[in-house]
Amino acid sequence: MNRPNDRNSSMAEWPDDATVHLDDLRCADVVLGLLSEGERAQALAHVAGCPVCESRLRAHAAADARAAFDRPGRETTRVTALPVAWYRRPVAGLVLAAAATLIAVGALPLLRGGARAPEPARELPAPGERVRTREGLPEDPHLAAGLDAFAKHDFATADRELSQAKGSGTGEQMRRLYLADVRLARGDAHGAVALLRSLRWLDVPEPWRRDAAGLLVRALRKAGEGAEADSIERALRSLEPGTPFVP
Amino acid sequence: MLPSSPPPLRWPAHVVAAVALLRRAALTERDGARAVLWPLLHASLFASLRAQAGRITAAGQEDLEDLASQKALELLLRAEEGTWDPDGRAEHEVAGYLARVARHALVDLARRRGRECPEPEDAEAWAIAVSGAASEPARPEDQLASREFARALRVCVAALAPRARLAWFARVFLERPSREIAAKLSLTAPHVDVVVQRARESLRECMLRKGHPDAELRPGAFVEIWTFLSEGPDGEPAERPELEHG
Repeated sequence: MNRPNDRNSSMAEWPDDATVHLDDLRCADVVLGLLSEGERAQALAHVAGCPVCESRLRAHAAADARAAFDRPGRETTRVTALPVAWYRRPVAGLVLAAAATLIAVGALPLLRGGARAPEPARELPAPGERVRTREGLPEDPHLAAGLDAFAKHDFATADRELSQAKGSGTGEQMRRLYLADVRLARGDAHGAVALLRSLRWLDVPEPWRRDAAGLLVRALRKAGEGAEADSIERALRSLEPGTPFVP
Repeated sequence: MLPSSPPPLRWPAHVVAAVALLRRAALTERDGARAVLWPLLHASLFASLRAQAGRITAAGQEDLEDLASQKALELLLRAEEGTWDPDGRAEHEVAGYLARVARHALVDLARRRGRECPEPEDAEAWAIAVSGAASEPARPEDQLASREFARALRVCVAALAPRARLAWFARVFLERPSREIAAKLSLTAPHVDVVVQRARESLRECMLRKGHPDAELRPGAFVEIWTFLSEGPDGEPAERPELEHG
Protein backbone atom coordinates (compact mmCIF):
# COMPACT_ATOMS: atom_id res chain seq x y z
CA MET A 1 0.00 0.00 0.00
CA ASN A 2 1.33 3.41 -0.86
CA ARG A 3 1.97 5.79 1.94
CA PRO A 4 -0.53 8.59 1.89
CA ASN A 5 0.95 11.84 0.68
CA ASP A 6 3.93 10.10 -0.82
CA ARG A 7 3.13 10.79 -4.42
CA ASN A 8 6.32 9.29 -5.79
CA SER A 9 6.09 5.89 -4.15
CA SER A 10 3.95 4.11 -6.71
CA MET A 11 4.16 0.34 -6.66
CA ALA A 12 3.90 0.30 -10.42
CA GLU A 13 4.66 3.16 -12.74
CA TRP A 14 2.10 4.56 -15.10
CA PRO A 15 2.58 2.76 -18.41
CA ASP A 16 4.88 4.60 -20.78
CA ASP A 17 2.16 4.59 -23.36
CA ALA A 18 -0.06 7.53 -24.17
CA THR A 19 -2.86 5.31 -25.52
CA VAL A 20 -4.07 4.17 -22.10
CA HIS A 21 -7.48 5.71 -21.56
CA LEU A 22 -8.31 7.35 -18.27
CA ASP A 23 -11.36 5.67 -16.76
CA ASP A 24 -13.54 7.23 -14.09
CA LEU A 25 -11.75 5.64 -11.14
CA ARG A 26 -8.39 6.91 -12.36
CA CYS A 27 -9.81 10.36 -13.02
CA ALA A 28 -10.41 10.51 -9.25
CA ASP A 29 -6.70 9.95 -8.66
CA VAL A 30 -5.90 12.74 -11.11
CA VAL A 31 -8.26 15.37 -9.68
CA LEU A 32 -7.23 14.47 -6.14
CA GLY A 33 -3.59 15.01 -7.07
CA LEU A 34 -2.54 11.52 -6.00
CA LEU A 35 -0.30 10.71 -8.96
CA SER A 36 3.41 11.42 -9.10
CA GLU A 37 4.49 14.26 -11.38
CA GLY A 38 5.60 11.82 -14.06
CA GLU A 39 2.39 9.82 -13.94
CA ARG A 40 0.29 12.95 -13.98
CA ALA A 41 2.19 14.33 -16.97
CA GLN A 42 1.69 11.06 -18.87
CA ALA A 43 -1.97 10.87 -18.02
CA LEU A 44 -2.59 14.50 -19.02
CA ALA A 45 -0.59 14.07 -22.22
CA HIS A 46 -3.03 11.36 -23.20
CA VAL A 47 -6.06 13.37 -22.13
CA ALA A 48 -4.94 16.38 -24.17
CA GLY A 49 -5.23 14.29 -27.33
CA CYS A 50 -8.27 12.22 -26.40
CA PRO A 51 -11.54 14.18 -26.44
CA VAL A 52 -13.43 11.39 -24.67
CA CYS A 53 -10.97 11.25 -21.77
CA GLU A 54 -10.86 15.04 -21.66
CA SER A 55 -14.61 15.19 -21.36
CA ARG A 56 -14.51 12.61 -18.60
CA LEU A 57 -11.78 14.40 -16.67
CA ARG A 58 -13.67 17.65 -17.06
CA ALA A 59 -16.71 16.06 -15.43
CA HIS A 60 -14.55 14.97 -12.51
CA ALA A 61 -12.98 18.40 -12.17
CA ALA A 62 -16.47 19.89 -12.09
CA ALA A 63 -17.52 17.45 -9.37
CA ASP A 64 -14.40 18.37 -7.41
CA ALA A 65 -15.51 22.01 -7.55
CA ARG A 66 -18.93 20.95 -6.28
CA ALA A 67 -17.27 19.03 -3.45
CA ALA A 68 -15.49 22.20 -2.38
CA PHE A 69 -18.81 24.02 -2.33
CA ASP A 70 -20.60 21.28 -0.38
CA ARG A 71 -17.80 20.58 2.09
CA PRO A 72 -19.20 20.47 5.63
CA GLY A 73 -17.86 23.35 7.65
CA ARG A 74 -16.22 25.18 4.80
CA GLU A 75 -15.32 28.71 5.80
CA THR A 76 -16.60 30.55 2.77
CA THR A 77 -19.87 32.35 3.40
CA ARG A 78 -22.68 30.76 1.51
CA VAL A 79 -24.78 33.31 -0.27
CA THR A 80 -27.86 31.17 -0.81
CA ALA A 81 -29.81 28.86 1.49
CA LEU A 82 -29.17 25.15 1.91
CA PRO A 83 -28.74 23.12 -1.27
CA VAL A 84 -32.23 22.00 -2.07
CA ALA A 85 -31.32 18.75 -3.73
CA TRP A 86 -30.17 17.10 -0.51
CA TYR A 87 -33.60 17.38 0.95
CA ARG A 88 -35.92 17.21 -1.99
CA ARG A 89 -34.78 14.03 -3.59
CA PRO A 90 -35.07 11.47 -0.82
CA VAL A 91 -38.27 12.89 0.54
CA ALA A 92 -40.78 10.37 -0.79
CA GLY A 93 -39.03 7.36 0.72
CA LEU A 94 -38.36 9.08 3.98
CA VAL A 95 -41.96 9.67 4.84
CA LEU A 96 -42.54 5.92 4.59
CA ALA A 97 -39.43 5.18 6.63
CA ALA A 98 -40.58 7.59 9.31
CA ALA A 99 -43.74 5.61 9.91
CA ALA A 100 -41.80 2.46 10.72
CA THR A 101 -39.99 3.59 13.82
CA LEU A 102 -41.67 6.76 14.90
CA ILE A 103 -40.40 7.62 18.32
CA ALA A 104 -42.82 8.77 20.91
CA VAL A 105 -40.64 11.21 22.76
CA GLY A 106 -43.21 11.89 25.42
CA ALA A 107 -43.64 15.49 26.29
CA LEU A 108 -40.02 16.39 26.36
CA PRO A 109 -39.30 19.85 25.18
CA LEU A 110 -36.21 18.56 23.47
CA LEU A 111 -35.14 21.49 21.47
CA ARG A 112 -37.78 24.03 22.21
CA GLY A 113 -36.12 27.14 21.01
CA GLY A 114 -37.14 30.56 22.19
CA ALA A 115 -37.46 30.19 25.96
CA ARG A 116 -34.04 28.80 26.68
CA ALA A 117 -30.53 30.02 26.61
CA PRO A 118 -28.70 28.92 23.47
CA GLU A 119 -26.23 26.82 25.44
CA PRO A 120 -25.73 24.65 27.35
CA ALA A 121 -28.28 22.12 26.31
CA ARG A 122 -31.85 21.92 27.53
CA GLU A 123 -33.59 19.88 30.16
CA LEU A 124 -34.70 16.37 29.46
CA PRO A 125 -37.09 14.06 31.24
CA ALA A 126 -35.77 11.34 33.48
CA PRO A 127 -34.10 8.32 31.90
CA GLY A 128 -36.39 5.48 30.94
CA GLU A 129 -39.44 7.65 30.43
CA ARG A 130 -38.71 9.37 27.26
CA VAL A 131 -37.78 7.16 24.38
CA ARG A 132 -39.95 4.28 23.33
CA THR A 133 -40.41 2.92 19.91
CA ARG A 134 -43.90 2.51 18.58
CA GLU A 135 -43.42 -1.25 18.70
CA GLY A 136 -42.48 -1.06 22.37
CA LEU A 137 -38.95 -2.24 21.73
CA PRO A 138 -36.38 -1.31 24.32
CA GLU A 139 -34.26 1.63 23.41
CA ASP A 140 -30.63 1.30 22.46
CA PRO A 141 -28.56 1.36 25.69
CA HIS A 142 -26.12 3.81 24.10
CA LEU A 143 -29.01 6.09 23.27
CA ALA A 144 -30.30 5.91 26.84
CA ALA A 145 -26.82 6.54 28.25
CA GLY A 146 -26.29 9.39 25.83
CA LEU A 147 -29.55 11.04 26.80
CA ASP A 148 -28.78 10.59 30.48
CA ALA A 149 -25.45 12.27 30.01
CA PHE A 150 -27.09 14.97 27.93
CA ALA A 151 -29.56 15.70 30.72
CA LYS A 152 -26.66 15.98 33.17
CA HIS A 153 -24.78 18.29 30.82
CA ASP A 154 -22.01 15.68 30.60
CA PHE A 155 -21.44 16.43 26.95
CA ALA A 156 -18.28 14.38 26.53
CA THR A 157 -20.12 11.21 27.57
CA ALA A 158 -23.20 12.22 25.61
CA ASP A 159 -21.06 12.72 22.52
CA ARG A 160 -19.47 9.29 22.90
CA GLU A 161 -22.67 7.40 23.66
CA LEU A 162 -24.83 9.08 21.07
CA SER A 163 -22.12 8.52 18.50
CA GLN A 164 -22.25 4.80 19.19
CA ALA A 165 -26.02 4.52 19.36
CA LYS A 166 -27.77 2.94 16.43
CA GLY A 167 -31.12 4.00 15.12
CA SER A 168 -33.31 3.98 12.10
CA GLY A 169 -36.03 6.13 10.66
CA THR A 170 -37.21 8.89 12.95
CA GLY A 171 -35.16 7.52 15.85
CA GLU A 172 -31.99 7.99 13.88
CA GLN A 173 -32.94 11.54 12.97
CA MET A 174 -33.63 12.37 16.62
CA ARG A 175 -30.30 10.83 17.63
CA ARG A 176 -28.55 13.07 15.12
CA LEU A 177 -30.46 16.04 16.42
CA TYR A 178 -29.36 15.38 20.02
CA LEU A 179 -25.82 14.72 18.89
CA ALA A 180 -25.74 17.96 16.92
CA ASP A 181 -26.83 19.83 20.02
CA VAL A 182 -24.08 18.12 22.01
CA ARG A 183 -21.49 18.96 19.39
CA LEU A 184 -22.55 22.59 19.36
CA ALA A 185 -22.45 22.72 23.14
CA ARG A 186 -18.89 21.35 22.99
CA GLY A 187 -17.86 24.06 20.55
CA ASP A 188 -17.81 21.86 17.46
CA ALA A 189 -20.07 24.05 15.34
CA HIS A 190 -18.93 22.53 12.05
CA GLY A 191 -19.70 19.06 13.37
CA ALA A 192 -23.15 20.20 14.43
CA VAL A 193 -23.79 21.74 11.02
CA ALA A 194 -22.69 18.56 9.27
CA LEU A 195 -25.05 16.47 11.39
CA LEU A 196 -27.96 18.82 10.89
CA ARG A 197 -27.37 18.96 7.16
CA SER A 198 -27.54 15.18 7.10
CA LEU A 199 -30.98 15.19 8.75
CA ARG A 200 -33.87 13.80 6.83
CA TRP A 201 -36.02 16.67 7.83
CA LEU A 202 -39.38 15.16 7.05
CA ASP A 203 -38.55 12.30 9.41
CA VAL A 204 -38.23 14.78 12.27
CA PRO A 205 -41.66 15.33 13.77
CA GLU A 206 -42.90 18.80 14.54
CA PRO A 207 -42.33 20.78 16.66
CA TRP A 208 -38.79 19.39 16.84
CA ARG A 209 -38.24 19.98 13.16
CA ARG A 210 -38.69 23.69 13.61
CA ASP A 211 -36.49 23.63 16.68
CA ALA A 212 -33.87 21.74 14.74
CA ALA A 213 -33.94 24.56 12.21
CA GLY A 214 -33.30 26.99 15.07
CA LEU A 215 -30.39 24.84 16.18
CA LEU A 216 -29.06 24.89 12.62
CA VAL A 217 -29.25 28.67 12.61
CA ARG A 218 -27.17 28.86 15.79
CA ALA A 219 -24.66 26.30 14.56
CA LEU A 220 -24.27 28.12 11.24
CA ARG A 221 -23.66 31.39 13.05
CA LYS A 222 -20.98 29.80 15.19
CA ALA A 223 -19.47 28.20 12.11
CA GLY A 224 -19.18 31.61 10.49
CA GLU A 225 -21.89 31.06 7.91
CA GLY A 226 -23.99 34.01 8.93
CA ALA A 227 -25.59 34.65 5.57
CA GLU A 228 -27.11 31.19 5.45
CA ALA A 229 -28.19 31.45 9.08
CA ASP A 230 -29.93 34.75 8.33
CA SER A 231 -31.63 33.22 5.32
CA ILE A 232 -33.07 30.32 7.33
CA GLU A 233 -34.04 32.56 10.21
CA ARG A 234 -35.94 34.88 7.89
CA ALA A 235 -37.78 31.91 6.44
CA LEU A 236 -38.64 30.67 9.94
CA ARG A 237 -40.01 34.05 11.00
CA SER A 238 -42.11 34.45 7.88
CA LEU A 239 -43.99 31.18 8.40
CA GLU A 240 -47.24 30.91 10.26
CA PRO A 241 -47.10 28.67 13.36
CA GLY A 242 -47.89 25.12 12.41
CA THR A 243 -46.66 25.47 8.85
CA PRO A 244 -44.33 22.57 8.01
CA PHE A 245 -40.80 23.85 7.61
CA VAL A 246 -37.80 22.30 5.91
CA PRO A 247 -34.66 24.45 5.61
CA MET B 1 -7.98 -2.28 -26.35
CA LEU B 2 -5.67 -1.24 -23.56
CA PRO B 3 -2.07 -2.10 -24.40
CA SER B 4 -0.81 -2.24 -20.82
CA SER B 5 -2.15 -2.03 -17.29
CA PRO B 6 -2.01 1.23 -15.38
CA PRO B 7 -0.84 1.21 -11.74
CA PRO B 8 -3.26 0.44 -8.90
CA LEU B 9 -5.73 3.09 -7.81
CA ARG B 10 -4.35 5.45 -5.20
CA TRP B 11 -7.47 6.87 -3.60
CA PRO B 12 -8.56 3.75 -1.62
CA ALA B 13 -5.41 3.85 0.53
CA HIS B 14 -5.88 7.56 1.08
CA VAL B 15 -9.49 7.05 2.13
CA VAL B 16 -8.40 4.47 4.72
CA ALA B 17 -5.72 6.79 6.07
CA ALA B 18 -8.05 9.80 6.16
CA VAL B 19 -10.73 7.86 8.07
CA ALA B 20 -8.09 6.78 10.60
CA LEU B 21 -7.02 10.40 10.93
CA LEU B 22 -10.59 11.49 11.60
CA ARG B 23 -11.18 8.68 14.09
CA ARG B 24 -8.22 9.68 16.23
CA ALA B 25 -8.63 13.43 15.84
CA ALA B 26 -9.27 15.44 18.97
CA LEU B 27 -12.32 17.66 18.98
CA THR B 28 -10.34 20.70 17.92
CA GLU B 29 -8.72 18.80 15.05
CA ARG B 30 -11.89 17.35 13.58
CA ASP B 31 -12.51 20.11 11.09
CA GLY B 32 -9.09 19.59 9.58
CA ALA B 33 -9.58 15.84 9.43
CA ARG B 34 -12.99 16.26 7.81
CA ALA B 35 -11.47 18.59 5.24
CA VAL B 36 -9.02 15.85 4.29
CA LEU B 37 -11.56 13.03 4.08
CA TRP B 38 -14.35 14.95 2.37
CA PRO B 39 -12.78 15.47 -1.09
CA LEU B 40 -11.49 11.89 -1.10
CA LEU B 41 -14.93 10.48 -0.40
CA HIS B 42 -16.63 12.84 -2.82
CA ALA B 43 -14.24 12.19 -5.69
CA SER B 44 -14.17 8.42 -5.21
CA LEU B 45 -17.94 8.21 -4.90
CA PHE B 46 -18.45 10.42 -7.93
CA ALA B 47 -16.06 8.17 -9.87
CA SER B 48 -17.87 5.04 -8.71
CA LEU B 49 -21.24 6.59 -9.55
CA ARG B 50 -20.17 7.76 -12.98
CA ALA B 51 -18.56 4.42 -13.79
CA GLN B 52 -21.85 2.61 -13.14
CA ALA B 53 -24.46 5.19 -14.06
CA GLY B 54 -24.87 4.17 -17.67
CA ARG B 55 -25.71 0.62 -16.69
CA ILE B 56 -28.32 1.45 -14.07
CA THR B 57 -30.13 4.64 -14.90
CA ALA B 58 -29.89 7.77 -16.95
CA ALA B 59 -28.21 10.27 -14.66
CA GLY B 60 -26.79 13.64 -15.55
CA GLN B 61 -23.76 15.36 -14.11
CA GLU B 62 -25.84 17.22 -11.55
CA ASP B 63 -27.59 14.04 -10.42
CA LEU B 64 -24.25 12.34 -9.90
CA GLU B 65 -22.86 15.33 -8.03
CA ASP B 66 -25.94 15.38 -5.78
CA LEU B 67 -25.58 11.68 -5.03
CA ALA B 68 -21.84 12.01 -4.41
CA SER B 69 -22.41 14.84 -1.93
CA GLN B 70 -25.22 12.98 -0.20
CA LYS B 71 -23.36 9.70 0.13
CA ALA B 72 -20.06 11.37 1.02
CA LEU B 73 -21.76 13.15 3.88
CA GLU B 74 -23.35 9.93 5.10
CA LEU B 75 -20.02 8.12 5.02
CA LEU B 76 -18.23 11.03 6.67
CA LEU B 77 -20.68 10.92 9.55
CA ARG B 78 -20.51 7.15 9.79
CA ALA B 79 -16.73 7.30 9.84
CA GLU B 80 -16.81 9.91 12.56
CA GLU B 81 -19.26 7.90 14.59
CA GLY B 82 -17.31 4.69 14.13
CA THR B 83 -20.02 2.80 12.27
CA TRP B 84 -17.84 2.66 9.17
CA ASP B 85 -14.16 1.96 9.63
CA PRO B 86 -12.20 0.62 6.65
CA ASP B 87 -9.04 0.17 8.73
CA GLY B 88 -7.35 -3.11 7.86
CA ARG B 89 -9.31 -3.55 4.66
CA ALA B 90 -7.52 -4.19 1.41
CA GLU B 91 -7.64 -1.40 -1.15
CA HIS B 92 -9.84 -3.40 -3.50
CA GLU B 93 -12.28 -3.99 -0.65
CA VAL B 94 -12.51 -0.27 0.05
CA ALA B 95 -13.02 0.48 -3.63
CA GLY B 96 -15.58 -2.31 -3.80
CA TYR B 97 -17.48 -1.00 -0.81
CA LEU B 98 -17.69 2.49 -2.28
CA ALA B 99 -18.78 0.98 -5.59
CA ARG B 100 -21.64 -0.79 -3.77
CA VAL B 101 -22.65 2.40 -2.00
CA ALA B 102 -22.68 4.12 -5.37
CA ARG B 103 -24.65 1.33 -7.00
CA HIS B 104 -27.31 1.39 -4.29
CA ALA B 105 -27.58 5.15 -4.64
CA LEU B 106 -28.10 4.81 -8.38
CA VAL B 107 -30.68 2.07 -7.93
CA ASP B 108 -32.54 4.27 -5.44
CA LEU B 109 -32.42 7.12 -7.93
CA ALA B 110 -33.78 4.87 -10.65
CA ARG B 111 -36.60 3.68 -8.38
CA ARG B 112 -37.52 7.20 -7.44
CA ARG B 113 -37.77 8.02 -11.09
CA GLY B 114 -39.66 4.86 -11.77
CA ARG B 115 -37.36 3.40 -14.33
CA GLU B 116 -34.24 1.33 -14.38
CA CYS B 117 -32.14 0.29 -17.36
CA PRO B 118 -32.14 -3.46 -18.01
CA GLU B 119 -28.91 -5.28 -17.27
CA PRO B 120 -26.74 -5.34 -20.39
CA GLU B 121 -26.40 -8.67 -22.13
CA ASP B 122 -22.83 -8.03 -23.09
CA ALA B 123 -20.90 -6.38 -20.27
CA GLU B 124 -17.79 -5.91 -22.40
CA ALA B 125 -19.70 -3.99 -25.05
CA TRP B 126 -21.12 -1.78 -22.33
CA ALA B 127 -17.69 -1.11 -20.92
CA ILE B 128 -16.47 0.00 -24.33
CA ALA B 129 -19.54 2.13 -24.93
CA VAL B 130 -19.27 3.78 -21.54
CA SER B 131 -15.51 4.32 -21.74
CA GLY B 132 -15.69 5.64 -25.28
CA ALA B 133 -12.52 3.71 -26.04
CA ALA B 134 -13.60 3.08 -29.59
CA SER B 135 -13.49 6.74 -30.58
CA GLU B 136 -11.54 7.70 -33.65
CA PRO B 137 -8.15 9.35 -33.04
CA ALA B 138 -7.82 12.95 -34.23
CA ARG B 139 -5.87 13.71 -37.40
CA PRO B 140 -2.32 15.07 -36.86
CA GLU B 141 -3.14 18.47 -38.42
CA ASP B 142 -6.18 18.80 -36.15
CA GLN B 143 -4.07 17.89 -33.14
CA LEU B 144 -1.52 20.54 -34.08
CA ALA B 145 -4.21 23.19 -34.51
CA SER B 146 -5.74 22.22 -31.16
CA ARG B 147 -2.37 22.48 -29.41
CA GLU B 148 -1.75 25.93 -30.88
CA PHE B 149 -5.21 27.03 -29.82
CA ALA B 150 -4.70 25.72 -26.30
CA ARG B 151 -1.33 27.45 -25.90
CA ALA B 152 -2.68 30.76 -27.17
CA LEU B 153 -5.64 30.46 -24.83
CA ARG B 154 -3.33 29.79 -21.91
CA VAL B 155 -1.38 32.98 -22.64
CA CYS B 156 -4.62 34.97 -22.85
CA VAL B 157 -6.01 33.42 -19.66
CA ALA B 158 -2.76 34.22 -17.84
CA ALA B 159 -3.33 37.89 -18.68
CA LEU B 160 -6.66 37.94 -16.84
CA ALA B 161 -6.93 39.00 -13.22
CA PRO B 162 -6.79 35.92 -10.93
CA ARG B 163 -10.42 36.27 -9.86
CA ALA B 164 -11.66 36.68 -13.42
CA ARG B 165 -9.56 33.70 -14.48
CA LEU B 166 -11.10 31.43 -11.88
CA ALA B 167 -14.64 32.67 -12.45
CA TRP B 168 -14.38 32.25 -16.23
CA PHE B 169 -12.88 28.75 -15.93
CA ALA B 170 -15.49 27.62 -13.42
CA ARG B 171 -18.28 28.86 -15.66
CA VAL B 172 -17.00 27.89 -19.11
CA PHE B 173 -15.22 24.60 -18.46
CA LEU B 174 -16.77 23.34 -15.25
CA GLU B 175 -20.24 24.79 -15.89
CA ARG B 176 -20.62 25.79 -12.25
CA PRO B 177 -23.61 27.93 -11.26
CA SER B 178 -23.06 31.55 -10.26
CA ARG B 179 -23.90 30.88 -6.59
CA GLU B 180 -21.09 28.34 -6.30
CA ILE B 181 -18.56 30.59 -8.00
CA ALA B 182 -19.74 33.48 -5.87
CA ALA B 183 -19.21 31.50 -2.69
CA LYS B 184 -15.73 30.44 -3.74
CA LEU B 185 -14.64 33.94 -4.70
CA SER B 186 -16.56 35.83 -2.00
CA LEU B 187 -18.64 37.71 -4.57
CA THR B 188 -22.34 38.05 -5.17
CA ALA B 189 -23.89 35.97 -7.95
CA PRO B 190 -24.70 38.98 -10.19
CA HIS B 191 -21.13 40.18 -9.76
CA VAL B 192 -19.88 36.78 -10.93
CA ASP B 193 -21.93 37.11 -14.12
CA VAL B 194 -20.38 40.50 -14.83
CA VAL B 195 -16.85 39.23 -14.15
CA VAL B 196 -17.35 36.23 -16.42
CA GLN B 197 -18.81 38.33 -19.22
CA ARG B 198 -15.88 40.75 -19.09
CA ALA B 199 -13.43 37.85 -19.07
CA ARG B 200 -15.11 36.38 -22.14
CA GLU B 201 -14.80 39.67 -24.00
CA SER B 202 -11.21 40.09 -22.98
CA LEU B 203 -10.32 36.56 -24.10
CA ARG B 204 -12.15 36.95 -27.40
CA GLU B 205 -10.10 40.05 -28.21
CA CYS B 206 -6.86 38.40 -27.09
CA MET B 207 -7.49 35.26 -29.16
CA LEU B 208 -8.40 37.37 -32.16
CA ARG B 209 -5.07 39.16 -31.92
CA LYS B 210 -3.37 35.77 -31.85
CA GLY B 211 -5.11 34.63 -35.00
CA HIS B 212 -7.87 32.53 -33.46
CA PRO B 213 -11.14 34.19 -34.43
CA ASP B 214 -13.19 31.06 -33.76
CA ALA B 215 -14.60 31.28 -30.24
CA GLU B 216 -15.32 27.54 -30.04
CA LEU B 217 -13.10 25.67 -27.58
CA ARG B 218 -10.96 22.95 -29.08
CA PRO B 219 -9.91 19.58 -27.64
CA GLY B 220 -6.98 19.91 -25.27
CA ALA B 221 -7.94 23.40 -24.14
CA PHE B 222 -9.44 22.14 -20.90
CA VAL B 223 -6.34 20.20 -19.86
CA GLU B 224 -4.06 23.10 -20.78
CA ILE B 225 -5.99 25.62 -18.69
CA TRP B 226 -6.84 23.22 -15.86
CA THR B 227 -3.16 22.34 -15.47
CA PHE B 228 -2.26 26.00 -15.53
CA LEU B 229 -4.81 26.89 -12.86
CA SER B 230 -3.96 23.84 -10.74
CA GLU B 231 -0.50 25.28 -10.29
CA GLY B 232 0.13 28.10 -7.90
CA PRO B 233 1.86 31.31 -8.91
CA ASP B 234 5.28 29.62 -8.75
CA GLY B 235 4.25 26.47 -10.54
CA GLU B 236 3.49 24.66 -7.29
CA PRO B 237 0.28 22.63 -7.00
CA ALA B 238 -2.68 24.63 -5.73
CA GLU B 239 -3.53 24.19 -2.06
CA ARG B 240 -5.56 21.14 -1.02
CA PRO B 241 -5.97 19.75 2.50
CA GLU B 242 -3.45 17.01 3.03
CA LEU B 243 -2.99 14.05 5.29
CA GLU B 244 -0.28 14.52 7.83
CA HIS B 245 2.55 12.06 7.95
CA GLY B 246 2.66 9.66 10.82
